[in-house]
Amino acid sequence: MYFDYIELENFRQYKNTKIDFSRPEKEKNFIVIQGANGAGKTNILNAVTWCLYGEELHIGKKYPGLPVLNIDTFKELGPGKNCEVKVEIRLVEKNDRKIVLKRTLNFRKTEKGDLQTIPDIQSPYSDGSTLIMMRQTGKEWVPVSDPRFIINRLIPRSIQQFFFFDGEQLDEYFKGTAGKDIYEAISKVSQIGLLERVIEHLSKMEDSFIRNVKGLSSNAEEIRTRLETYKTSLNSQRSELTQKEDVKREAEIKEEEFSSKLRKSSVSRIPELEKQRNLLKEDLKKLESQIDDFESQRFDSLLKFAPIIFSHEALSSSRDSISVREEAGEIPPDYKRHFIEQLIKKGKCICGIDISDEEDKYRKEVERLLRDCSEISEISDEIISLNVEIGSMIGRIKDFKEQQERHGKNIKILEEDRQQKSKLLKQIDEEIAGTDVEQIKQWEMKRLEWQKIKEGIIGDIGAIKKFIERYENIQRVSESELKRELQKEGRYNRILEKLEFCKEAKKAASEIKDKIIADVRRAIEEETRKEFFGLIWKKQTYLDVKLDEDYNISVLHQSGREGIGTLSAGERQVLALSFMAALNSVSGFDVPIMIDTPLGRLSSEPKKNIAENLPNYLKGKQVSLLVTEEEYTPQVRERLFERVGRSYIIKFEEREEGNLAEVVPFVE
Amino acid sequence: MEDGPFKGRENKELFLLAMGIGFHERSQKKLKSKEGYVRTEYLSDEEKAIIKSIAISKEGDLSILLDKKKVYSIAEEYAAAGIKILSEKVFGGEYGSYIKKLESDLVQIYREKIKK
Repeated sequence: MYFDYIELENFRQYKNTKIDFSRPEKEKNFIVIQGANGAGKTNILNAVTWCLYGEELHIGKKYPGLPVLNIDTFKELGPGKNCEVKVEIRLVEKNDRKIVLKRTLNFRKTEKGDLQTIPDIQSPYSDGSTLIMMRQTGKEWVPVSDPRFIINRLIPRSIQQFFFFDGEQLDEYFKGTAGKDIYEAISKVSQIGLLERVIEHLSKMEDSFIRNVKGLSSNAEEIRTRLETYKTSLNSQRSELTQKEDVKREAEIKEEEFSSKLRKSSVSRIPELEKQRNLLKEDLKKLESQIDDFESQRFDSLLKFAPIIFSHEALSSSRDSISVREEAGEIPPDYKRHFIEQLIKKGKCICGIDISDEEDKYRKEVERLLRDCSEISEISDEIISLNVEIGSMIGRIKDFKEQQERHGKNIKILEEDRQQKSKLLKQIDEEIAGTDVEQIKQWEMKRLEWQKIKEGIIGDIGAIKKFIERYENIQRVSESELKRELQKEGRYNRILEKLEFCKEAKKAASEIKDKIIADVRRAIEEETRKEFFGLIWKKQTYLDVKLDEDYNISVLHQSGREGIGTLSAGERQVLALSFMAALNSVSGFDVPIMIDTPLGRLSSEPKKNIAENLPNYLKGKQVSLLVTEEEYTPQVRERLFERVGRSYIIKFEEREEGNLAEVVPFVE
Repeated sequence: MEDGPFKGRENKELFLLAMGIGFHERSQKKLKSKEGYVRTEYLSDEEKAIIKSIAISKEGDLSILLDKKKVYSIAEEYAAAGIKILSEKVFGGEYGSYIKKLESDLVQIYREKIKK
């Protein structure tokens, strides 16, 4: 799908402008709209989102509170007269079918000269605007009765930020641990919202079934009451957990903000110290993880040996008992009881003699053999195997001390390393805090404040998670207890079937959701990696790009360390664009892309490199770039030249009362 | 017991440890229900050997092995008592200290009773 045209009438600084996006040739899928800062580039993005969703999603500091109506138009309006703001977009779908979206909002100038909005009282949009949608069917244009439904199918509001975005905001994805943002992005792109609603609905149904069961025994009633209490507590704790996690994320972002200021400061030693501190923190994190692994291995070993060591007496005495029986000739037995019993039963000896007569001497001999045959003859094979196992375990016990000592030694080495690094970290903390540069002191103080908030919250989060886990277990046990109570009476069979259905359906939906998310995460990781390494210019410096299970993006530096903190602005932009391209590719949505300031903060070399490779991103999609002159240098223009279908410039007039702008074709 | 150091551990690991502790302390506890106890098909030959040895030691004769139900019943009673002892040891102190305590107990038994 691509934009065919966008028409703005009285929208912000655009009194009357129509931008033709149609492609002169298929390969020329780039549209470039150049404008100075403040000329109106972002408002083109805003016009698109306003038309689609009734909201300007990129409104900056300049415009909040200002009406969407062009100020010039308002000035020219006579008292008591009306006017209209309009944004019209024509889209072309894959099958060449066209869609027209027209959003309007009416205004009036009162007799006193004030501006008054005239909302459409039937409008479902908060600003009172009206949206009309027409869709081409054959040669006819057919009005669409519910445009919101169609728009949500084509370009869902929840994921629009992956198609219409500010290039300078992309960095948000990699600030601190932005795993949650990325998880949300992937959830939206995976469209698992439906599955989440299914699971939620099934849970509500379960609760309703349990709540409405009548005539329960006192035991069952007590369990039901308990379950209600657990549910309430769990819901409250889950809600608190979400809040705390939001606070933690904010603290991480703020901590990183001040750390970044320190890294970029011009005060002597501070940037190196801050970088060293970040590296040390990373190392300490790794060390803690290694120590946890070794502790886990140590515990594995203990759990393996513990039953053997605690039962050592039993093992030894059993072995002795077996030895006694071996010496007595009972193990292995000459005959098994069952075998002799069968001979007597059949009345025939293995040699063929008839022993059916109870008085027969051979019969009596066979019966004597039976009496002498130990009862354990039947399980002699088992006893022999048991003896072998016991021997093996007793033989291995001597390895116990050596293994534990080895684990202990490994842990000790890591602990010593950890202590040393912690000491170094403390020294750096003191050196930075002890600076006599006031600004650095302030930043360090703020950074530390946020670090402490973060650490406090991490503790709280840990405690809440433990509570939730514990009570989820208790809840599960209580649900099983209630089920057993209900099973005692046949009249609850139908309810039990329904509850079982809900449980199985929830499980299936959860499994499907988890699988989809995991598959999409893997696909995005792979696509991001492919794009990043296809486009990065320092190919030897980085070894891998990963999107881990916590949805944190990491870049493996050739040194083996986490490299995301070492990426330059240009490299971060490449990573961000790669990630965005991956989301687009994996999402399956065929939506045109519009990027405001894609090359904003980059120096010339990365700008040229990205521009050269930009056409390889987002292949097959229409890409509109809203760029400044500083971004769209002759070198960038040269590299994009072959793929640019249309080129525009925003002509604007800066006025005290409000700028006036127009988008006109750019002629070289 | 799903909390603490045994989080994520299999039921059978906990069962065998508890059984060992119960046997070591010579403490048994009759069972009310079998909720969460281990199933024999998940036990290895070595683990079954430990269970059988404990039963033989308790009854003083190999013939106990003829009654499989009784063998596992003895094991479960030691485990039931052992769980109680374990619970007190784990939740009586801090998380990290139980693993060290366990290691120290095992090393002591090893030195006093096995090494010689």
